[in-house]
Amino acid sequence: MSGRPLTRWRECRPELYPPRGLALWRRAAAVLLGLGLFLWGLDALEVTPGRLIDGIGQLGHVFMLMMPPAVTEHVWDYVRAIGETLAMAFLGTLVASLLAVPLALMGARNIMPFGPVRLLVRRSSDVVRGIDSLVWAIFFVSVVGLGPFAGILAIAMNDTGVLTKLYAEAIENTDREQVKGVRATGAGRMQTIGFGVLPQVMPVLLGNSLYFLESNLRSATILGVVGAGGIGFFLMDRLMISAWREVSLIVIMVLVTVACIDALSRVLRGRLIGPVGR
Amino acid sequence: MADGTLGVRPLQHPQSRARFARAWAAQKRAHRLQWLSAAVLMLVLIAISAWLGEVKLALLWDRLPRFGSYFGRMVPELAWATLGEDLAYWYWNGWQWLASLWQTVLIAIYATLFGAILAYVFSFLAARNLTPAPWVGVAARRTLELARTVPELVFAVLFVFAFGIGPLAGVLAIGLHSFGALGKLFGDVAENADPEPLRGVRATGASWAQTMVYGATPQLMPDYLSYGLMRLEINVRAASILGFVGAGGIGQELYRAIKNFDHTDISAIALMLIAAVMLIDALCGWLRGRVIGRDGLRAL
Amino acid sequence: MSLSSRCGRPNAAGAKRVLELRALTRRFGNATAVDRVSMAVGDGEMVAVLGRSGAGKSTLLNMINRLIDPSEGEILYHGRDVSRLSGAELLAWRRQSAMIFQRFNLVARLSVLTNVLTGRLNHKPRLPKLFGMFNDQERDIAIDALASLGMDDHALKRADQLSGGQQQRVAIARALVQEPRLILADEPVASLDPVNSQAVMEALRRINQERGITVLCNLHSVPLARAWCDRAIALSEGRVIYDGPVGGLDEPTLLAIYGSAAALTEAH
Repeated sequence: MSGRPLTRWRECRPELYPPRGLALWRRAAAVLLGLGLFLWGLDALEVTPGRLIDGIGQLGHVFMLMMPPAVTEHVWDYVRAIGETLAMAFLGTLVASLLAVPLALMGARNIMPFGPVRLLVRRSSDVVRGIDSLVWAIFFVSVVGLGPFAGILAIAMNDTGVLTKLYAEAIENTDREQVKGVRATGAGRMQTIGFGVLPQVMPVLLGNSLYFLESNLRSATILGVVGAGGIGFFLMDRLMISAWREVSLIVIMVLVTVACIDALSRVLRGRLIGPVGR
Repeated sequence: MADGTLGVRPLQHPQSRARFARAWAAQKRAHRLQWLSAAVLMLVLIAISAWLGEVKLALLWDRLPRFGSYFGRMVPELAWATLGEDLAYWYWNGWQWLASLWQTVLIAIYATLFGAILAYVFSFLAARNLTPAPWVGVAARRTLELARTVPELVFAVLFVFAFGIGPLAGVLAIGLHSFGALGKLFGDVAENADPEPLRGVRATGASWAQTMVYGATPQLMPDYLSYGLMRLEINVRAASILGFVGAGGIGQELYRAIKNFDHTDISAIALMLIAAVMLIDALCGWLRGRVIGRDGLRAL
Repeated sequence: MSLSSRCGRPNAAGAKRVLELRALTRRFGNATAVDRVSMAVGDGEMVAVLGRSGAGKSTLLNMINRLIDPSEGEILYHGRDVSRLSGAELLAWRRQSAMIFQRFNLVARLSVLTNVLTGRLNHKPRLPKLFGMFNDQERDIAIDALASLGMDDHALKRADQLSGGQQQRVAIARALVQEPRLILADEPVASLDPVNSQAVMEALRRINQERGITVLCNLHSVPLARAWCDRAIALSEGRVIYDGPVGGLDEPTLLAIYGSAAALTEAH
């Protein structure tokens, strides 16, 4: 192509080129407006370069203080607290999964013909889900007192909301032909649900429950902040008294636990729903 | 069923029938054993968890009435005649709460934005088919894992300590966690990217970064946007509690109300929060639909 | 048509050698896909590479462009070994040896014009291109290339809205804007119907004759090779078993290439 005079296509094909003149100005104005909005938002969030730089320096300082992690006589307390955390996540997920199945059936359009019930289930699950499990934990601490039991109830509450929604959507997406097939054998309403709908959604249900077990383990680690048991209590306690080297030990213990549970749940998921269920 | 009563043609030879019956029984036994051991394991797990988790069902049953009275106290006194005044009394601090709520939403938006941009870059480093070098991929995946395993609230406490009380710590904490969570999701999507366009762009002499921008990004963008919007929904919820540790947003007001047993304040704030969450969910759902719907029409 | 400078250059096999392969080998595990291939290609030649599927044609072309690294051997271009290049030099070599693929390998969601512009990614300035900014001159080049293939009316469509034949012409335009000295076409017409096959081969031949670009073209069909190429190289199990003018492809040679009469009928 070198040496050959190029056609100047801009004249005959202006739409293939970036705009010029007024259109260009309009685009520049839009970009500036976006940038202005972005900066205004940053200002509203009290973000300034000075604070950022200071903070990063502080963070580095804290990080240096954290090293190396300190293994103290409290280690067995931490191990027990992690066990408590695991128990909270496990029981919370289990209860939520069991409660969510009937609720989801009541909230699914293809199962529950009665509109108001469906709406009530769906909306109340929205409300329950809209409140973080930490807030539920505060609430349950005031009901059943300090300790992991409040945490279990909080996780179960929040997750029932989330799982009801997810399960209901899964049930609504089931294949109608298969359900029809079961109904054609003369099965009753309950039998149709049991043999036509549930087998189809089982993999989704189990997969979601396992996924939530992992995610609940993460949220269970912080419920101790408000006194609802688990490792979070020690984590906050050590943070408050600036025992940084113990904080790093706890964080590492949590990371290892979560990694183990993730691996276990991956294996279980593979066994229960096959390689495609991920 | 072993004798073929379900209209299945019965097996002809008694010998093979016996063999079938034996195999069937053995399989049934193995199956039953599997189920039984799984059930026992489950029960043991439940028992241990119940013991560790200090489950006291009797206590819950005892305290159940408190449940009702707790909610009862949250209901404000509203009368038709004086509805305006009652509402004003209920939402006595409404404008302040609205400002905090707005801050919560801003925290969620900026955290999602920062997290998503970083996750976008890291997804290409972490995906096994796109990574510039295997060790970079391993390093990127470990970084993402770390960022998503540490709970937001722990990050928030650290950042409040480092950056001071205020929404900045919240943005950074949620942003960092979103970076980890989205980076994982994005990376999984990127691993399924169609290799043909990537080869096509690479063959022109494009550098790695250029290949990612022109070969990978166009095919992945719709999925990335969809996941990003989903994360925004999650982050609004997460941002609502950051105030508990001083990292900005409506959580601060909520925490104060709970601590001081201002029951009507709790319900007022919670209602605002739920409304905001629902609004954002609906907005994100609509946007997601547009992202997917528009996909068939426009060239990037 | 802006391709007006008809040079009518002779494509004699005796022209100056530009590309030379010396004992080029590629192994995948225990299998040897390309086995000590040695050959020389003259400037401005149009060479058909024939062989059954699995004979190593595709690996050979991908190795020359360096999308696949050779296990052993040398690739000399103007006497310079390009088989060990890395970094920026490797990218520059890929730019000079443009690839065309059987499945077009366009980016589906990008517009036709942007797809063609990706051919300019290795030309300076490179930084603005990371943000999708190409200057007017590069757009001129890209639209020129599209126009020379009759595709300029489709410039703003998404690449996946075009038919196979149209997509392959866009891919050729992308190769052209790279300003290559060598075009490596890997089964360019295998996914196309006969009419589009002829159009694409005609375009390649025109580029070869008018611009003097050397073309190496993997083909599964012997008639296409006879109709459009000067010279044929045949591979079987990774080795060169024929190298000469397309006219020299007689029945015994073809039987040797395709192994059986049945496979040969398929190739016709």
